[in-house]
Amino acid sequence: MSENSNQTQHEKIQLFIQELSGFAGTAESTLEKIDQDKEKNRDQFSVFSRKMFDIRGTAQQLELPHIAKIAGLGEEIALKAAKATRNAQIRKCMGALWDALTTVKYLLQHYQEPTTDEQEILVTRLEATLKALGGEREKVDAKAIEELLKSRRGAS
Amino acid sequence: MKVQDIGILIVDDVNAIRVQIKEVLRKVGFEKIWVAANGTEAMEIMVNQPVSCVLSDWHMSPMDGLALLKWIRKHSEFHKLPFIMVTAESAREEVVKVVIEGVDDYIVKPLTVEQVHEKLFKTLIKKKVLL
Repeated sequence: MSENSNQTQHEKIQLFIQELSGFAGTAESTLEKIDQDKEKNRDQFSVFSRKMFDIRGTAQQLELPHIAKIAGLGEEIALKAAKATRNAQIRKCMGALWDALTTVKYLLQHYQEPTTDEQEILVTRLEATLKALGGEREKVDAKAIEELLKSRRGAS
Repeated sequence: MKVQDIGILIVDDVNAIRVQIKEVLRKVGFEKIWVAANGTEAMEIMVNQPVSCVLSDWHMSPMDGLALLKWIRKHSEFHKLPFIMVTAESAREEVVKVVIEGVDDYIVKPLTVEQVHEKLFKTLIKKKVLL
């Protein structure tokens, strides 16, 4: 497999947009499927979460933090939704996930535009939803990862 | 072995990321670079090319980075090969899994030139690939 490594940042982002639009399309059809039967299709939340993960990872690598932030919140909310036991919780998650997906799709098409107050409001709302569902999984930074690696080396 | 002679295998299912990481590696002097879109493709390259180090994403299908790491660590020829996970995954419960399986280092995206110096070169020196 070969790729041209001399692409401009703009060309790379165009490639990214093209690829990620496909991921967003899959995420959208997944949400539609869940909407049809929330109980039966709840395992599909993991598919949605994985697509948001892909979008987040690519956005992080290409230094598009506003897209990464919203995709990351979508990823965590989808993980919570997969474990939600009450219908009200699932409905709340669905609303949040549609908002996250719609915004990610918009941002993919308008990545050069500055962030708006509306996006900030959405982030705050998604964060509040996630908090109400128990908060995001514990994350580790580079220092904590180094500690984990050191403790393994010490143990072996 | 000199930097330009070290064969690096990038494994990631997103084309845009493969391109970006390849560019970062070229900036610091690597010339022998292969790319794979998942663990299955990576295994095929490894048995046919002189790969000295693997930089792999985690979540891919049909074979993910954790499965690739396990395969490498059990392989009679490749078990000591430097393996660095380059991923957006930073949940503690997940990171612990690859640490247990013997990953040499772990980079949360984005992979930058600075991280290549700090993590990749350090691993290559430690594993005596880069002298």
